[in-house]
Amino acid sequence: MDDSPGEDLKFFLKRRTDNMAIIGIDLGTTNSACGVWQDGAARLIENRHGDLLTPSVVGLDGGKNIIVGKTAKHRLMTHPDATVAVFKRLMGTKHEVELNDRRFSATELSAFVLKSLKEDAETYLGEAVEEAIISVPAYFNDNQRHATKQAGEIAGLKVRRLINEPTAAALAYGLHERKEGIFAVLDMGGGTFDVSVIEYFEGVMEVHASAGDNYLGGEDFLEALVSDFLARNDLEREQLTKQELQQLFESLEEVKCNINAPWPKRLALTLAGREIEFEASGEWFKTCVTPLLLRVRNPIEQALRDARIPLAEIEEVLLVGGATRMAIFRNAVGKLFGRIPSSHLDPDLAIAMGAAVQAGLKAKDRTLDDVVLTDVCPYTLGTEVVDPGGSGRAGYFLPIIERNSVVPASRVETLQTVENNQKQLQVNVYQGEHRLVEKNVFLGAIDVKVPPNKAGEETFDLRFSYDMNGLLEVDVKVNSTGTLINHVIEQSPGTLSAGELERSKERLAALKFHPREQEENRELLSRGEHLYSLYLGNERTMLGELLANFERVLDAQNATEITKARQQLKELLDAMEAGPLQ
Amino acid sequence: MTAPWSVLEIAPTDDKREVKRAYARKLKQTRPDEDSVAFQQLHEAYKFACYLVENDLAIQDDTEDEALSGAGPEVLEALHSEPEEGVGDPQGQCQQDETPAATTAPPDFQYLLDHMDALLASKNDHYFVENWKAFEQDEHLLTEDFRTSLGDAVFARVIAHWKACEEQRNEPAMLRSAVLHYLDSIFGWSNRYYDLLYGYDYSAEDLEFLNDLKDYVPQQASKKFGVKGGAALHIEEKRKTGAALFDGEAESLPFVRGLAFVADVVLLALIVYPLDLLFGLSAQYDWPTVIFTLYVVLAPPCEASIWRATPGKRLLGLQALNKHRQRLSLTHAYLRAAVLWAMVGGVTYIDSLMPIDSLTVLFAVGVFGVYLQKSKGRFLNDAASFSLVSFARKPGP
Ligand SMILES: Nc1ncnc2c1ncn2[C@@H]1O[C@H](COP(=O)(O)OP(=O)(O)O)[C@@H](O)[C@H]1O
Ligand SMILES: [Mg+2]
Repeated sequence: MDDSPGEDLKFFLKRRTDNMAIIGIDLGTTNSACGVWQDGAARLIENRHGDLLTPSVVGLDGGKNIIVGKTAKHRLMTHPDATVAVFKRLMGTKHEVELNDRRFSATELSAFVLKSLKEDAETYLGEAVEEAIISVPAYFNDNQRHATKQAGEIAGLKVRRLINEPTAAALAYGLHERKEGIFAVLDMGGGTFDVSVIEYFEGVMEVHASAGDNYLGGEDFLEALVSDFLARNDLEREQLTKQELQQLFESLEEVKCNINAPWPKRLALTLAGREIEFEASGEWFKTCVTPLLLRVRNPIEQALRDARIPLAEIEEVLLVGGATRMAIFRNAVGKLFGRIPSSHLDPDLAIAMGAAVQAGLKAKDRTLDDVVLTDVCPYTLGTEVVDPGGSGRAGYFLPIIERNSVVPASRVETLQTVENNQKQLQVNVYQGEHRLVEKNVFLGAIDVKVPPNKAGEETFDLRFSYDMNGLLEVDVKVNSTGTLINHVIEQSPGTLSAGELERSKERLAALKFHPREQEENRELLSRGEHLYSLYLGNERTMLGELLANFERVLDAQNATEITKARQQLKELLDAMEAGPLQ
Repeated sequence: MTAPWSVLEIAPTDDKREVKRAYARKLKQTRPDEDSVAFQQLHEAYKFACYLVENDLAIQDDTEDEALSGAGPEVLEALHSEPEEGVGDPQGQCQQDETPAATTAPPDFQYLLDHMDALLASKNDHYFVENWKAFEQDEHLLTEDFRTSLGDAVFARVIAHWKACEEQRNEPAMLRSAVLHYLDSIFGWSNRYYDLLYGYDYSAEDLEFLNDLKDYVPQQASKKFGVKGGAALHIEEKRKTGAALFDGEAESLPFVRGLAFVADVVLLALIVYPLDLLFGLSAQYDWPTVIFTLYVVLAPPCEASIWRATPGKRLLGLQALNKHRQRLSLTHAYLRAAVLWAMVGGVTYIDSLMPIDSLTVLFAVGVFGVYLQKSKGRFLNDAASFSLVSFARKPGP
């Protein structure tokens, strides 16, 4: 036996990485959260402010400091040019966001949030964290999934698995309640709506079908209220300053979340130089959001149809995502399913819990030995072919992997050349349900050289493999020459090349978070500034003085003074925030 | 033992629970992320077994069992092709669905259809999405049967209306894509493209517009996003609407169009004047002919550009569009110009045959004015070339 020290070291290193925790992250449109699998249970991790939820808001302050989470959320109003929210909607696109004259892609902004969560997890666990499970909406397409994975890489996390959000919620629920049966999970968060039909039996969590709408979420309900409010008051969005618009958004968000509360919802705002009083009634709310509610049913129908499970067999309807708290949503869903949806789970945290369970599964935790998860791909994947009818026109979609096939899935289709002496094949990969490729989502293209021959004489095998992450790999094999080209999808929009990824990493490395110990003070300051912009008169003056004083104390760097001033400021802010609506 | 039972390692059974238990047991040894090929086989065997159990095919006498194992692939085939049959035969489904629906009398939606007919018959009311919102006020809309049957009835009317408009070349009466999209968001037609194609008497051309509706939501959604948080959003084709001097009231359209034409003519005159000084054009041709010819030649490229307008129209916030309210192609723009040219040419020709006196001109101008008022600013050449001119900022809410 050759027991060289090298082998020993390798073994040791392997053990280290095996033991290193994998964290599970819910990277939401509005809020993100993070958890780990520990001692046979999913545990959620508190962030630097002691909260379980970190708002997905990113800002820059003055120099090169990044602000993430609650602090940044307060600054949406006070520093609208340097703060951004809801960027998850831009994942997988080329759109960029400008913060203080610097441009960021949605992938980079998400990386900031991930990095902040990673640091929180490291503090909690007391060790470095390098691997993560990240949840994505089931209906996220391939480009959006790649972008999410890359965001993880930029943040220094190896993404071991992307898990679909409703699946994660079901996993958390199934393991928690140990209840067998078929259930429908509806997840409506800030920006997306997902439906999954899932069965749990004998430790097997089987997803039958998923469907969704990537543009239907709490933010759209808010947007509907804002549009209607503006129309009713003869205002144009362009007339308002960014601050005013943000204030309107915040007021109506509050109305939206409290619409069923017994107190009156009266708004008094100064917009474009006009004092506007508005009474937000339940009736008004209903008229604004009904068109959105109607859109809820299409994905539900599709998921049930694809799963080929009759409505009557659904034993429970699980609601996750903050927007499902709306009573009007619950009523509509109750009507559709003919039963009251259950709310055993905290709608905000279920997904992060599920991601943590998946992290435990991935780490092969012994407490999860009897649990297996199978998922599906929610889209049809295919390639562009010429008209099978013989007109010779290109642009037709040939499905290769049908939607809601179980993953991992791998299918081959043999295709042939269409012209004499054709030298090259361009394999275009699409995702979608339409018979014409132009109506589907373009995922990428592969160029393949073929030896010249008569039309139809050269054949090639096109293999699509859909992995557990919902990511696609494409292999092309030219049959006459045996040439094999593996999974190189080039020209895919919205994803970064290896070089771009490196550049992003470097660029972001130059930006720093504030030191942790200062974070609390910063949060307090930005909270104060936010309130300052809301109040007028005496309160405002007093607040201004207190904030200036606090800054002076901070500059003096005397620890006891700082603690004292912080306490004082905090009490005042708490009192003011308890504010008018209660 | 034959497939699928050999894969599941159980004897053939008609007890679904047993199948599930066997699958779960095997699955824990064949995890999907460890051996994907084995997992695929296992999963297929499981689905096949479920299929056999559900259709009472699992346990049979020996001869049939032999036949079944021999016919394994075909049965599998049948299993796979089943969903397509389901989709391809919506009428069969409809009949099944009708029985339970018939027992509980469907709520009445005739009043909605009447409302719709009134909108379609009206001149402008159908243009505004607001006017269609009566549909969503009906509580029953959340009931599937009601929605489907109402949706199909509405759809039939939309198609009939569409065809009638095409026939009469009555484009202004056509439903705007915003309205269609709105209706689609309620009734989900575009999700049922094939249902509609095979289940009813529609051709693929009839359903053409459904294809475009799907793209409409994401576009809208990504456009309006970005205000939140204020930070500037860079969208590749961020297009400013023209510097609008007029606020887009439909009544002012004819007047503004006239003004735009005058502006274009002045602009052309400014170009032609120095040329005239240099080459003495006016010795050979009269001014109006030169300028009008130049207008006909130069306007189309401008209208087919991202301005969608000649400089004069651009200045006054107008756009020339095709009937789908999209930018004109260059050929289409030239067609537009050619129609205009032919019309003016025709008038000139008549003039050369029998000189038109000033009284007739006055009379013609009067008739034209009334016509403009009636047609809401739509000129004859617009109608004849399937195009329209409107304010860049769409009128209405
Ligand atoms: N009580 C409530 N009533 C209505 N909407 C709510 C309520 N609480 C949260 N929301 C909405 O839920 C959305 C956030 O849900 P969340 O699940 O955190 O989203 P995401 O997973 O996309 O981050 C926001 O749009 C918010 O307005
Ligand atoms: Mg969510």
